[in-house]
Amino acid sequence: MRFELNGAEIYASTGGRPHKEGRPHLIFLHGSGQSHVSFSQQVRVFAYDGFNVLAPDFPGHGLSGGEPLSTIGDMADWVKSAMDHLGIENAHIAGHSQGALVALEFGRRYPDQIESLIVLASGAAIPVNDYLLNKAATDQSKAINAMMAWGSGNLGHKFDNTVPGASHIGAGTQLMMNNPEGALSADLQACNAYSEGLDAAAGIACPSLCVLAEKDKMTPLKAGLKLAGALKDSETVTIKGAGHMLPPENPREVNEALRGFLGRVA
Amino acid sequence: MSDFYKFDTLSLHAGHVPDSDHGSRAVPIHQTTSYVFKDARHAAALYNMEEGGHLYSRISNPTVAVLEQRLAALDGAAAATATSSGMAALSTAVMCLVSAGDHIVSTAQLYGANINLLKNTLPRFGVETTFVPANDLDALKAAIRPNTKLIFGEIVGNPGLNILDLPAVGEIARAHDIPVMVDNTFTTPYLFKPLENGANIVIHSVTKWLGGHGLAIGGVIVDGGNFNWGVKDADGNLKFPTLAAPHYALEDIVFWEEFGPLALTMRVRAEGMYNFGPALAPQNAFYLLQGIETLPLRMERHIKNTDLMLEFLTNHPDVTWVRHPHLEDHPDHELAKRILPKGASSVIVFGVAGGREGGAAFIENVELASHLANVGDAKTLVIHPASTTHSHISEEDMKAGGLTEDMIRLSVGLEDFDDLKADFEKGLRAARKVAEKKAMKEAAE
Repeated sequence: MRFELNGAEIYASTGGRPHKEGRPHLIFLHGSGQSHVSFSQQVRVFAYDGFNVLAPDFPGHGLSGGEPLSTIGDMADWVKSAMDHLGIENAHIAGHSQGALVALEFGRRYPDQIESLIVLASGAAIPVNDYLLNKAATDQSKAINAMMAWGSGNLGHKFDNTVPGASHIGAGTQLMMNNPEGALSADLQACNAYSEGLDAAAGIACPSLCVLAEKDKMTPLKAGLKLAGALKDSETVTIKGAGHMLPPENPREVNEALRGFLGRVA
Repeated sequence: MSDFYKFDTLSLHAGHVPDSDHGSRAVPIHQTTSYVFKDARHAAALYNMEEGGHLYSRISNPTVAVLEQRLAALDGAAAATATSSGMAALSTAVMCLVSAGDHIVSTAQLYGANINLLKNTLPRFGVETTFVPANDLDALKAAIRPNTKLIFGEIVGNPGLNILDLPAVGEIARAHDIPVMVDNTFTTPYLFKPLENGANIVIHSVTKWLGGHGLAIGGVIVDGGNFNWGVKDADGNLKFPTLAAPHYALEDIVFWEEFGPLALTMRVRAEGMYNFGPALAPQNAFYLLQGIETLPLRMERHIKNTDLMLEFLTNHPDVTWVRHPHLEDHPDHELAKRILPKGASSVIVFGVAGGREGGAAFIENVELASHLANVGDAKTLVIHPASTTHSHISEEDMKAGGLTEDMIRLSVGLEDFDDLKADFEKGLRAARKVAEKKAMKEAAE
């Protein structure tokens, strides 16, 4: 769907199905320099499972217009505005990497509007090294290259894929290259500056699920387990051998974990 | 490990991780038409393109998928879809992109079947092609119309051996929001990466150097994922509705919105493989994969033998002319040096003493080189295009493609060069005899 928010045209995937009254809402928030396409193996599955799915492109990303937002707090507020605009009172909110930080912060700021929190490959903080911050600001293609190298797991690097013929590294690189210049840099700076994840986690009262990647080089498993430990009502699933790009690389395991969790809480 | 696995490693490993149950190191041949669904919901999800997986081998197959993923890796692409032949790849890709009323601009120097598809078949379905001389950039610009939806060319023209200045063509195409599709069969991703040089879609006849052993016919559509299919024309209409408007059957899918860089590949699956049915057999995919494992080694040797053969032919008194981009007198020599520094294919075209009859004598007297309709085999191959591969195209098109009556097309193989040289000496001796007889006859008349 497309809608206008704060003067910018916003695109959000609904998994191909229009929202229907009475169905639970499930929001997917993408990671740094990504777009809704990183959830292409989730959105249609859960839309046809009976959820009102919403996977927005943040401003200045994917098919959305506008300028990229500069802080995780601004992104959480933006999600709230989008929900209000669409008349969504509350939702299950899943976030990958940076999207998980946004979901955490959203849960702290708007506790009455989050039904459950789903963290996909993230910790409570995502410190970004100087090389990546610098390259994202000066040479986006090199930064994307580095992210694909570190973010891809064994399946990505060996070019295995549940979608026949597709390349995680090739498609992932193009997905990021398709974003306007500056989107990745703004995202990485926002991640690097966010230091309130553990405080936010302590304040989350809704049920939560952390789906973590054993071989995650960008948000290491240890950091994910620390976040899971800080959440009060939390379940953790660790996907063996997986890398950071969990939603596209390990969709079967991710979807199974989400289905199990949402089946209990939705 | 370095950041990414390198080309030689990918040639061996890409696309396949041994499964946890059996651990088969070789790629298993999934000789099956169909796949048992886990439950009704799983079946619906596959039909509905909610998640990846295999449902019927006309659409996809696990062995074929390894080949596709390996080729996507080698070309640096978003995805690849294998087909039953290179021509199936070209026709399927074109038909998934264009519709009646659309227009294509193509270089004139093409493989005969490519010419026939564009010139004779597609017009019956309302798609017109304008042919322009390769690298005449002004002619290319002049041929572009508001309804032009594709620019097509061969990186190394078959058999004229002209080189396409892809970086320049890509620049023109980008300025007009038109995708560039190239046939990269002669160079393979070992010698040239079209997606890094301005192309959006790459076609390979995998039958040739990629498979490399003359065992199986196959093709592939390589999708760069690097084109904005959501672009609109001057009137504000979607320029590529097959990708950016709702699918005719799965009405809730707009491929470009839902799958982004995989839009074309998903359309090829949902329409090309589904409706046209050009599926590659898994057994053939296995054979082709075995070839790709040694692609870097073979290509290096192909090019080495090509250079030795060029030296031999250019110095031989019974060879009347030789054409190859490695030779300084080739019109695209400098371009080839710039964009194909690792080599400009192992195909050589040449003429022998005695003209058309001399050529026939040469072909009938070589014993190692095989006279057949293929290129890119590990074994050396020869053919006379005017009477075979290009016999169904007009004299005018032959001329435009740089073909002559006396032309012999040689695909240099991997044999010990001393043996090849001795074999060619025999063939050239036979050609000389024909030439001498012709000369005596002419003198007597």
